[in-house]
Formats: sequence, C-alpha cells, structure tokens
Amino acid sequence: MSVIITTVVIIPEMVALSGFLSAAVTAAAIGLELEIEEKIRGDGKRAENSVELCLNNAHEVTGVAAGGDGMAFRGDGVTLIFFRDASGQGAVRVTGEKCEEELRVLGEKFAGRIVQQYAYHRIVNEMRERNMNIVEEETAEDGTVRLVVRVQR
Amino acid sequence: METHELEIEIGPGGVVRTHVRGLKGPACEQYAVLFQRIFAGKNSVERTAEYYEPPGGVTVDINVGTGR
Repeated sequence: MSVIITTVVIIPEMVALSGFLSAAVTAAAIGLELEIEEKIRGDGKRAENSVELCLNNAHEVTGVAAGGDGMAFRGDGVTLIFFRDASGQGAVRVTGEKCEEELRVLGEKFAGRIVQQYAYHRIVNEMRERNMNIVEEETAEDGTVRLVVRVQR
Repeated sequence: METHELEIEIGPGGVVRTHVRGLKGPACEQYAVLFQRIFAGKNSVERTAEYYEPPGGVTVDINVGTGR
C-alpha cells in the first residue's frame, strides 16, 4: 500500500431527495429489511414517541419541523421517515411504540446506512465514468461494503 | 501497461477508507483529491513506505475534474 485515505462522507444539502439519495434511502431500508410504506408529505408535526436525527453524523435535529416530501418505511413496530428538514438537510424521524433510546438506536442505524449507500452509489458511478473496473465487491457481516477497483494506465 | 488497485471499504456509518496499492509517490494523492471532491468531506491521508519509493515512470491522470 502506498497511501491510505480515510474520508468522512458528508451529504450536501442540495442532493437531499435527489436520485442518488433516493436510491440510497431505498437500499438502506431494504438492507434493514424494512417495508416501503409510501411517499408521504411532511405534516410539520412531531409525534409522541418519536426521535429525529440529522443525516450527517446522525446528531439530533433541534428546533425544526419536518417539511416537504419524504419517504416512509415500516418494520419491527416502528415507522422510519426520511425527509428534508427546514434547514434543507436530510433527516430521519423514527416513530413507534418503543422508548426514545430504542428509537434513537434504530434512527442512527438507518441514518448510517443511508450515508453508506449514498457513498456506495457515488463511488460506483464515479469509477464507471472513469472506466475503472470494479473487480470485487462483498459485504462483511458488520455491514461494511468492500470494493476492489483495478486501474490500468 | 501498469496496474494499480484501490481497495475501498465503505463503513455502515459513512466513513470510506481507501487503500491505494501498487502506485508509488505523489501520483496516488490524486485519489485523495478525487474522494474529497466526490463527498465534500474531510480526508486524512496516511503515507506508507511504498509512497516514498521512486515512482517508476508511471503517470496517472484520473481526471478529478470540478464535478457536480
């Protein structure tokens, strides 16, 4: 190895609910065995037994209400909604008959998988655009996706 | 024709770790620029012993571009 690059992925505001991110949200939900509910509209309200998390680094959303279009998924007695918050950032709301801590853990897991799938789709697209061959792809037990890209020059 | 590889690990929390193999010298840092451009995120670059070996005449142009 000559260099090891570690990148913390940030999803820009402008891509919230764009094609890349919609695909990432759906892939994350499928990976967590969630059922796709329907496209929804944000109602601006916060339900009881719910937790909201910002997508980037999954910190808690404060002082903003859900707005605009969203994508809803259901599973394990909870509903997870991906939406764009009032500041334009991607966010996750988890609602269900569980305590806040359990909802938060589920939300953080979902948010993390969305960022991972966004990174995966962007990388695969960028490699293809540059005619770089992905020669190996596998997913480890902990959910880490490993790609090997071969480049000939 | 020279060949090098990128081993890319995408963690479930959204941290991407890329090992550049078989490419010596500063040429491999183009990939750090590429990943920073793709994700607008924070990069850290760790240089290994191979980095400091003579590059062997290989030129790499991955067209990091200005992007989206």
